[in-house]
Amino acid sequence: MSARIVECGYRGGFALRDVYFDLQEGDFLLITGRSGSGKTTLIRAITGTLEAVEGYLKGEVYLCGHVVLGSRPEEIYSCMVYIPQEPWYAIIGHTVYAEICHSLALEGRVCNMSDFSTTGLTRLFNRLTHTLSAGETQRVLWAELALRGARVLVLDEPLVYLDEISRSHVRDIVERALGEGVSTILVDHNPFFWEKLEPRLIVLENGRVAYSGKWSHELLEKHTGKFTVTKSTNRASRGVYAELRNVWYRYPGGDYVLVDVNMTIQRGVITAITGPNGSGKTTLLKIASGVLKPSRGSIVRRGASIYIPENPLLYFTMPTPREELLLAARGEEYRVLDIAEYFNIKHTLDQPIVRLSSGERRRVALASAYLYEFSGYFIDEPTGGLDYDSARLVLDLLEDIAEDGKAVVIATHDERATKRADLHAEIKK
Amino acid sequence: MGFLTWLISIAYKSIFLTGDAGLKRAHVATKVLFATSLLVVYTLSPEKAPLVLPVLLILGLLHAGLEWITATITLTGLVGAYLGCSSYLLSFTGLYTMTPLQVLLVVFRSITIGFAVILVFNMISPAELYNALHVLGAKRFSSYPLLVWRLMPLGLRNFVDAVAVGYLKREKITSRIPPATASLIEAGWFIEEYSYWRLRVKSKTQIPLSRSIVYSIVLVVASLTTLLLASL
Repeated sequence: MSARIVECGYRGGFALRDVYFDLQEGDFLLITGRSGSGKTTLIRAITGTLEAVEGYLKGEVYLCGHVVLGSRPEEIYSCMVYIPQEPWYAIIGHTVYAEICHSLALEGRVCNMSDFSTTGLTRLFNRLTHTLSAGETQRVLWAELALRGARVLVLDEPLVYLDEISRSHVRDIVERALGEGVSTILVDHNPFFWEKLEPRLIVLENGRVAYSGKWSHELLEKHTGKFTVTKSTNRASRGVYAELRNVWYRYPGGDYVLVDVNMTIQRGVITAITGPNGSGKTTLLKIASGVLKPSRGSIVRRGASIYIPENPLLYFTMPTPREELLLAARGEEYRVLDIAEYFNIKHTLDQPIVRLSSGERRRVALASAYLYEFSGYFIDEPTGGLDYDSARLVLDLLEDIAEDGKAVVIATHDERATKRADLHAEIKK
Repeated sequence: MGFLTWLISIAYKSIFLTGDAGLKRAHVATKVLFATSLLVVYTLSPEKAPLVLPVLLILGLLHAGLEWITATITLTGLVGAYLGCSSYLLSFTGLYTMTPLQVLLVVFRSITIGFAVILVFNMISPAELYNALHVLGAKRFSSYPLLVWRLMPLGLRNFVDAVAVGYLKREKITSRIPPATASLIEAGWFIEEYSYWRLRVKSKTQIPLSRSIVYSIVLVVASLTTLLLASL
C-alpha cells in the first residue's frame, strides 16, 4: 500500500497535512501521537472512509494497486480488513454465525463449521452479537481477519478491551500475519507494547508528521510521554459503602454470568474489578451500582450511587456540557465554571456532547456526577482508548473523588488504571 | 426500575431472546403455511381464535422455552387487559352493551392475536431474508436484514441502560429518550463508517441455513391443528 496525502480532514475543521509512506508486503507501521494529533483522520484517509464522515482527501491512497477513492468496493473489501477501536460497531450480523458467514459471502465463499472450529468460535457460534462482551466481539473480528485472508490489516487501538492473555494472543496473530506477508497498520496509544516487533513509526503532532522512520524507544517517550504510576497517598478505607451478598445474575435466555458473588465496597478508595473477557465485570458494576437487579442475592448500599457506562453518551441528559453541568449543579453557574476548570473541560462547555472526544466525554460525565454528590461512583473502562495525558487526567480525578471519601469502583483491563487502584476484585471465568 | 424499563425488558425477551434457533430453523414453506392457517382462522372465524392459544403456547415452548412464554404472555396479557377494560368502560357510554363474558372474550382474543403475531415474527430468520434478497437480485441490500436485527436489540439495550442511569440520577423517564436516541444515531454513524466498504459490496453467495426437519413437521402439524380447531 502507498499513501500520498497532501491534505485530509473535515471542511472548516481539523486538517492533517503531508503524510507520505509506502508499505511492502509484511511491513508493519505503527501510528501514534497524542489525542487530537490526527491518528483517526489518517486511518479514515487510509481506509477510504473520510467520505462517510463528510471529510475530504487531497492526494491518493493505494491499496493492493487500487486507488482507494474511486475503486470498486469489492476491490477494497477483498484487500483490507479494518478492526476499529469500537469493535461492536464493526459487526453487522445479528448472530456470530451470520456475521462470519456474511463476511465470507461477500468474497464469494460459503462458510462451514470448520471455519468456526479453527478460529475458536464454536462456543459463540449461535450467540446473538449484541450480547457479546467487547472482548468477545474483538475475538469475532479477529476470526474474520484469519478467515478472509486480506493483504492489508488496519487496526485502531486493538488492545483496549482485551485482557492480558488476549493481548499477547493478538500480538502473536499480528506477528503471524506479518510473516505471511500481510501489511499491517496499527494505531495504539501504547506503542511500547509492540516494541518486540519493531514496527516503523509515524508520530503525529497537531496534524503534522513529527517523526517518520525506524523504531526508536527514546523518541517515542519524547513525543508520546511515558506513563508513570504515581500514587500520591496510601489511601485507607473510610468505611463500608456497599455489601453484595451471594449475588447471582443471568441475562435473558443466557446462563449465569455471576455465581454467588460476595463483595464489600469501601469508601475513600478506588476498587478495580478485573478479569478475563466476558467474565462479567460490567455486569458486576451494573449490579453493584443499582442499574441491574440481581437474579438472586442482596445488596445493601449506604448512599446514592451512579454508573457511568463505557459509552458515556448514555449517561448524559442534556445536549451540551454546560447544560448538563447546570442541571447537576441545580442552576448554580459559578459551580459549573469551577468544576469545568477543575476537570479541564472549560473549552468544551458549549460544544455538542456528541462531538466531544472519548476523554472529554468521560471527564464531562465525571464532572456532572461529581456535582450530584453521589456516595458511590461506578465507572466502566474509565481510560479505554485514552492516550497517556487524557488517561492520567481521568485517573487523577478519580483519585480526587476517592480522597473526598466517596467509593470509586472501576471495571478495567487497563493496567494504567489498575495500578492506581487501592483494592482489587478479580472475577474468575 | 420503573414500569417502562420492565416493559422494555419483557418486549426484548419476547422478540430477541433467541438467535437463529427454534422455529426459525423450520422450512420457509411451513412458516408460510402456519401464518396462513392463523390468518384463515382470524379472518373467517375470529370468535374461535382463543381456541388456537394452546397450539401457540406449545409452539412457543418448543421454540424458546418457558422464559419466552412467560414474557410473551405477560406482554400480550397487558394489551388484552387494556383492550378488555377499555371496551368494558366504553360500554357505559351506552353506545353498546357488553357482558363480562364478552369482555373476557376480548381479552383472550387479543392475547391470542398478539401471541400469534409475536410468534410469527420470531419465526422470521434474518439469514433467510438475506438469502431471499440475494436470490431476488438485490445483492447490494442483502445485509440489511442482518443489520436491522442487530440494531433493534442494541437500541433497546441502550435505552434500558440510559433509563437505568436516569433512575440513578433521579430524572424523569422522558428525559432519557434523547441520550438513548443519540447513542443509537451515533451507532448508525459508526456502523456506516466502520463497515463502509462492507455495506457497499454485493453478496456473492448465500448464507448456509441450518434447517430442521423436526421443526418443519411441527409447524405442518400445528397448521393442520389450527385449521381443524377453527372448523369445529
